[in-house]
Amino acid sequence: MVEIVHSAAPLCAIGVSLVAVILMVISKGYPNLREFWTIGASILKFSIVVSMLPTILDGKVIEYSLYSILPGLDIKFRVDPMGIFFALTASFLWIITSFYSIGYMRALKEHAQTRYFIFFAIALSATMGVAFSANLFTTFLFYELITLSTFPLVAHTETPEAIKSSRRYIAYLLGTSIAFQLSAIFLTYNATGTLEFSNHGILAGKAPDMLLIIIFILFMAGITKAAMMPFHSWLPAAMVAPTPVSALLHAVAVVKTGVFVLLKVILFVFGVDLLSKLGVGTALAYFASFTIIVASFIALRQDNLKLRLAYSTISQLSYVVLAVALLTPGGITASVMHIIIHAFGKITLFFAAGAIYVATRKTNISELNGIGKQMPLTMAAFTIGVLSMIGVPPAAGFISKWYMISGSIEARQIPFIIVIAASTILNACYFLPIVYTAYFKRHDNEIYNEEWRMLNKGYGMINLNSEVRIKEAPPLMVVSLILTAIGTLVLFFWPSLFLELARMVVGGAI
Amino acid sequence: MINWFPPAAIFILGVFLVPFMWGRIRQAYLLLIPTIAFIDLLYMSEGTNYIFNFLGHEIILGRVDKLSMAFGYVFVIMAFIGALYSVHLKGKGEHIAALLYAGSALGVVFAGDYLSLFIFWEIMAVSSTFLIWARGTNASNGAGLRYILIHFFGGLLLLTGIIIQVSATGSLSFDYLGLGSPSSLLILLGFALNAAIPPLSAWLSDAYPEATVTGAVFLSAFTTKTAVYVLARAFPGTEILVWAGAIMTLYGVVFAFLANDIRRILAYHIISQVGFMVTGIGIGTALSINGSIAHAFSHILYKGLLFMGTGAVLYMTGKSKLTDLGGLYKTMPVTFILYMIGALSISAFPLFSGFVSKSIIVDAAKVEYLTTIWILLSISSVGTFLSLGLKLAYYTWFGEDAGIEAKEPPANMLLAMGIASFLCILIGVYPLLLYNLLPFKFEYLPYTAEHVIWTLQYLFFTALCFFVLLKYLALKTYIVLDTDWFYRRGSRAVMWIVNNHMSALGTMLTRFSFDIVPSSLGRFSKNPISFLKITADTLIMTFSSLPYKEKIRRQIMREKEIYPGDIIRHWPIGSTVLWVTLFLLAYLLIYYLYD
Repeated sequence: MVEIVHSAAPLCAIGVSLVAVILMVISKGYPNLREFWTIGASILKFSIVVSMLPTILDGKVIEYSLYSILPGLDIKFRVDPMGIFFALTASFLWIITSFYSIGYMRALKEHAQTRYFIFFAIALSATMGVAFSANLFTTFLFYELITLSTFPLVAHTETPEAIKSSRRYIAYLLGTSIAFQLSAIFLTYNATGTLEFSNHGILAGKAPDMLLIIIFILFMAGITKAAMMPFHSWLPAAMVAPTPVSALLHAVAVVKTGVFVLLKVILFVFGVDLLSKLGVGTALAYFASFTIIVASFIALRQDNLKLRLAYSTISQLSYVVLAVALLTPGGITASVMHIIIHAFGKITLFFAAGAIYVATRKTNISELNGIGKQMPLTMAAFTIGVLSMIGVPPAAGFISKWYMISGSIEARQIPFIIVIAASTILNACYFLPIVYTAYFKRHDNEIYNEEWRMLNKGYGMINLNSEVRIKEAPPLMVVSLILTAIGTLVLFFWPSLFLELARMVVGGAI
Repeated sequence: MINWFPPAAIFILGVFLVPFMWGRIRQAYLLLIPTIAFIDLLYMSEGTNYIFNFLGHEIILGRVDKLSMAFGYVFVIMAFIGALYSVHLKGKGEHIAALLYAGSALGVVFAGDYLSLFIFWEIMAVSSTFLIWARGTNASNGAGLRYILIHFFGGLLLLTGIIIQVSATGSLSFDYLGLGSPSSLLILLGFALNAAIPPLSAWLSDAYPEATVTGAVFLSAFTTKTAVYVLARAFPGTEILVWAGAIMTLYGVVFAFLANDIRRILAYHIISQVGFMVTGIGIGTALSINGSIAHAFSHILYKGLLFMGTGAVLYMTGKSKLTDLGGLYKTMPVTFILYMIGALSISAFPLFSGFVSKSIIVDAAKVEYLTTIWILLSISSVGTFLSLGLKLAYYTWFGEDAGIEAKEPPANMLLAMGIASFLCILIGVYPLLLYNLLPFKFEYLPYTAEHVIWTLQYLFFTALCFFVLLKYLALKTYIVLDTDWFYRRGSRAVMWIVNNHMSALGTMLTRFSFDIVPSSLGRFSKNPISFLKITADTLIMTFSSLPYKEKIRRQIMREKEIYPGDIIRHWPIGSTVLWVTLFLLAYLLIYYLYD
């Protein structure tokens, strides 16, 4: 039996940013004070999560019951290896995103900054809530809270396009989760009488196979935050949001919540044995493979940098789904590790996109000729993020690929190795052209100056400096993206903490 | 305790200081790094060191034996020569890429396990791509992208093979493997791609000519020879390699003849010469493997020299096509002489390094009575001299004067070429220097009367034929279709399908699910009964006979006009109540009957 520790730490971790919200409302007119609350809350949240880490690494589990609405429907928190893995990722990246947000918002002199920071804090609270939830009811509650709290963030710029996109965002997310996920939760409760997560699942033997498969399909369709096709369109639509929001949505809060809940359902509601018996693992893996490949092809055709990154995210999220659908130790390790590895890589790429926008107002890849000379640090970090996405050592993406291929071989499923291989090549196809456009195509200044000089050769005029001047984004933004890029490299060389947590997850699941 | 560093670390860690140096200090530093690495090599002793734990496996970064030391020496020497050749470059990008490339090649050579081998393998691929992209032309952008995609593909083959291997045997150690299991086949294919064994060779001839003048020198030295090293360690004696190598030698020579760009000719000759090494590995005897290693050693030096010479021509004239060049002997005589030393080496002229190394492989084939192989290798030796020593040299430096005014390249480039030439001649004259580095003990005398006469015989007859048939060998410009035609055309076809059909399908699906379906539902919900009646009438119309068709069609048009209309008129409330009562009665009956 796993030893259970009762502590209010998970509630504190969730509550810290809610308290910060109140303080932010009070300090509305004082931007620096308001920013101080955000940073303070993020650091405090991360510290609380880290304080829980030793207990979890010891093999124990922290629980806390908040409130019981009805018998069988309680808001209860449990911190287990997978939960703390996700919470560490989310809370650490929130610290960095906060600094980045401050830089971004102030550089662009955005409106409604208080509203922005408030809903950011609420969204992170809800993310912690999902990470620490002990049953499906708590998960669902905080899951919907994330959707609702990120809605004003997506609609932040308040342009007609933003309003339209945010409507689509909420229609997809709320619609599918209430239609499918809620029904699945009802059916689970009906079959088992409980909604608690448990190692080896709660549904084994509790209902006929057909019903179990239907519940599974409803869950998979309902957890739309994992952006599996055909319910993926909310993600590209959400790109109208300011870039720190996209970075958060696509690395930390929304999408990783989706795959996290999906992992929890597969491993701790159904269980590996039940799914192998039902044979749905392979079907899910093929669905995920479809998303991986098709999303990569769509990404190839996008010229807008953020849209290309969005479709890349859709593809990479299905890596997690594919890995866990293999139902082997290697696969489960890969899926858990990919949560943090993709988070660091993708957030670097989005930070770079935002930095490029702030420094040059450019959003399309075809406009980025020679920008590597103008923004060397940003593009260096971008290149490291790209290497991680492709899976090249020494970027951390290699570790995910290693475990995914191991998982496929353990599962004796060769087609998925081909899917991973094709996806690697496709990732290279749509990311590397950005890298060489940035570094090896001639910057407009250089061409302009050269033409000018050729035209004015005979006039003996002053020698125009054809050097492209370095003009990076504000320091807060550049330092953030360098930190996440370094984080990607650090994860490659010292993954042991996260591998240990992943190992504990596998140990619990198999 | 160990008093040496893995040389890879010296290069890779040395990269971090490059951005902080400039001018003469940086130039001195760039030459210092290979020098320190060379001194480090002298301290290295045989054994396995630098063992770490990574991802739950044991990785070995310092496996030293005669095989790896031979490659270590020549890689560091070439890294120094290349650094000297490129020391005049102002930007730091190429220097960083070259250092990483050389460092990771050394990492592969001294790796004792598959995981660290793979990590360095990938770093090699990525860093060498930057040397191609640095040229900055449209051609080099495309060539570099194709290069790295192909190398990622090869890397994936290798990775899959490694993982299957490790899950089957539990061990990652990199030693003799031999072709037996599917995993070993995948690993062989991964190695073969880097060794440019056709049909996996098109990347070499595509990308190397598009690289920068200085980058191509590094490229020619490392990727293919690292592959030769790993093949020599894991697959000696594999029979398929004998044939693959022999065919490679002819393949390279034939395509080199059709090529017009001087560096593309050299790229195809890399394939040809690596073919000699692959054959030697395949034959598998101590003599032949020694020959392969010796040939790799001398090849790195003379191929580097050839690329430096042709690179100098490109750098000073801006042209690299045979049809554009000619008559340079007047203005670039020193380059010409140094180039010819390289050309004579590759053609295995006595007193040059190629003679003492290629002969070993050819003799090994003779000793094993592999007549066909021996014949193929000899034919390609003839072709090599014809193409490089005669045709390329003639049309670049002699031939029709193209009227180009060129000077000799800068001193550092000449000095680098000079050092390489000196080494080529040194090894040719005193082969024991090279033979002492070889892994197996052997006694071999390259300078036997029979051998020297045989070589001089075919070389002079080749030259005679060339000059006699000169007017028939007029230059034509061809576009050579290599095996990359398949994936270049294939990927265009795939993208055409994606851009036109797949996206049309996607648009249609989206429009259907999120436009047509909701709006139809909307229209339906305005007056469901009437909608159903129209649908029913339409169905009846399609299945009824002609006279009624017209009547029903007019009725449908009337109904559509008044849609959604006023529903209440059609259904009096009394009949609705009756229907509801009947329905509830039926439910009651069924409930009691089945309870």
